[in-house]
Amino acid sequence: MSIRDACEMVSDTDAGCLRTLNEDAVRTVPDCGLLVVADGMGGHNAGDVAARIAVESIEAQVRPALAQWSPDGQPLGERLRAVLVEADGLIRREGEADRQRARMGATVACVVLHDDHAWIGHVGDTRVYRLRGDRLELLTRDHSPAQQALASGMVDAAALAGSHNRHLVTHALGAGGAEAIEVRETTAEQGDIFLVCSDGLNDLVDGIDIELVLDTMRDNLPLAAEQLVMIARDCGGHDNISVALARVDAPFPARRSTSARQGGSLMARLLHWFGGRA
Amino acid sequence: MAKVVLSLDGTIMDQHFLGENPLTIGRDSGCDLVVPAPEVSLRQAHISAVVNDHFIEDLGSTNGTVVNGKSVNRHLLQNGDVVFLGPYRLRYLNTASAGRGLDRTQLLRPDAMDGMSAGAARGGDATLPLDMASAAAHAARARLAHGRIRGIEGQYAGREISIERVLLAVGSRGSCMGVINRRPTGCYLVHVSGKVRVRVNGRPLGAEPVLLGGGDVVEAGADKLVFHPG
Repeated sequence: MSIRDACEMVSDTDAGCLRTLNEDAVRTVPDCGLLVVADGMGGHNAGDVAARIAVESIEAQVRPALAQWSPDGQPLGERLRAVLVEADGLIRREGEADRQRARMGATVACVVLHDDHAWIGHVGDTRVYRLRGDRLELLTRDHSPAQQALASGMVDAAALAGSHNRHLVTHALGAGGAEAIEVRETTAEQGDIFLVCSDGLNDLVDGIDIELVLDTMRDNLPLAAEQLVMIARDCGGHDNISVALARVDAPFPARRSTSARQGGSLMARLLHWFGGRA
Repeated sequence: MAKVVLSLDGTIMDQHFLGENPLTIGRDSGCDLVVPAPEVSLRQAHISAVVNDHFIEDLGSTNGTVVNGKSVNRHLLQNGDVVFLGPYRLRYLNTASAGRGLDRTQLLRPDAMDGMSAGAARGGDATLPLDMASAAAHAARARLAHGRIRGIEGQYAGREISIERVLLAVGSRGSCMGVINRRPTGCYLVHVSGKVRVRVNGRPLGAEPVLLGGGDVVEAGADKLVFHPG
C-alpha cells in the first residue's frame, strides 16, 4: 500500500498564550510519508525565517530522494543526513547575507515513513515520540545542557523540571548544528503513532499526559492534535506549540518492481561477465 | 545572575555571586565561603554551575548538607532554596527564570558547555524515559478545574473518582468514546470516536465540547456516570 493510503497525518500549530509571533514551522507531506517540525530562533523575527527555510528545504529534498530511492542505492538514513546538512547550509548562508538575520537558526525534527520503517532526524530539542500499544517512547535525545545533565546523572527527571536551562539548546540548524545531526532508523508497525513536536508541547505537558492523549484519541487524530495544543495552552502556553502526527493504519512496503530487479541482476551479470573478460 | 546570601538570625553576614568556578563552603578559612559554626565541617559542600543551573554537593561532611530541611547529596538549587549550616542560613537566589527572554529557546555559545563532559548527550538507540513538564507548567496546572465522577454503570460502577489527570476517558474505543477535560474554565465533555455519540443528560454531543455542570449524567458506551465539580 502506498504511504499516502497507509497513514493518516495531521498537524496543528499555535503561537501560545504569551506571544504574537509563531516562530515554529510545521509540515506534513502525506505522499512522502514526511512529518517535519522546526522551531526558529534569532532576533528580528529571523527565527520565523529560519524555521520556514528548514521545513521547505527538507520537503523539497526528501521528495526526489524518495523518488530516486532503490534498495541497492544510498541508504535512506545517509540521504536524510545529507538533507539536514543542506538545510543547515541554506539557513547559515541566508543569515550571513543579511545582518538582521545573523545567527538565526532552527531546531528541527522529522520523520520519513518509508518501506515499513521510520527514518528520524533531529537537531536541538525538537522531538519525535512513538506511541506503540499504549506506551509512548521518546525517540530523540535533546541537544541541550538539561539533557546532558540528565545523561551524566547530575540530576534526575523530576529535578529537571526546575532547571534554569530548559530553554537552552547546544545545537540548531544554521548555527553550527551540522555536526550534531542525529539520524536513526526504526520500525513502523500498524497502529503506531508518530508525534513530532516543538518544545512548547513537552515543556508544558508531562510525557505521561502526552501518552494519555494519544492513546485515548488514537482513532481521532485531528482531535488528538487539537487537544495536545489545548492542554499546553491551559498549562501556561508560554512558547509556540507545534505538533505533527502520523498514524500507521496498514503496512507500506516499498514497491520493488520485478522488471527493475531483473534489470538490475542482468546488469550485474553483464558487468560480471565483462569484468571476467578484462 | 545567581548568588548566595549567608545570614545569621536574619542579619546578612556575607554574599557571593556564582560564576563558573565552584564555590566551596566550610569552616576552613581556605573555603570561598567561611561559615564559623562548630556544626559545619571544615569542607562542608560546594556549589558548581552548569550554564544557568547550580548544584550543591555535600563533600562528605560530618552532619550532612540540609536544603529546605531535607538532607541532600547533590541538589539542583531552585530560587529561594535555603541551605542550613548550623545556626547560619544560606539562601540561593536566581532570577534567570524570571527573565522573559529565557522562555524563548536560545542557542548556547559553544564555549559555555566546556565544563561538561563532552559526548554525554550522545547515546545508543535506547528509548529515553518520558520526562516531565517545567515547574512553571506544574504551577499552572493548579489552575485547572477539579471534577469528580460517580459511576452508575460500566467500568466506574459503584466508584467515586476524583479526576486527577488532565483528562478522564469514558466509554471504550471502537464503539463510543469520550473524554472529560479539566480546563481552567471548568470540566468539558467531548466526543472522541465511535459511531454512537457520547450523551449528556440523554442528549447526544455534537462536535463541540460541552461544559459539565453538577449532576450532569454522562453516557458513553457501557459507561454511565454522574459528574460533580470540585
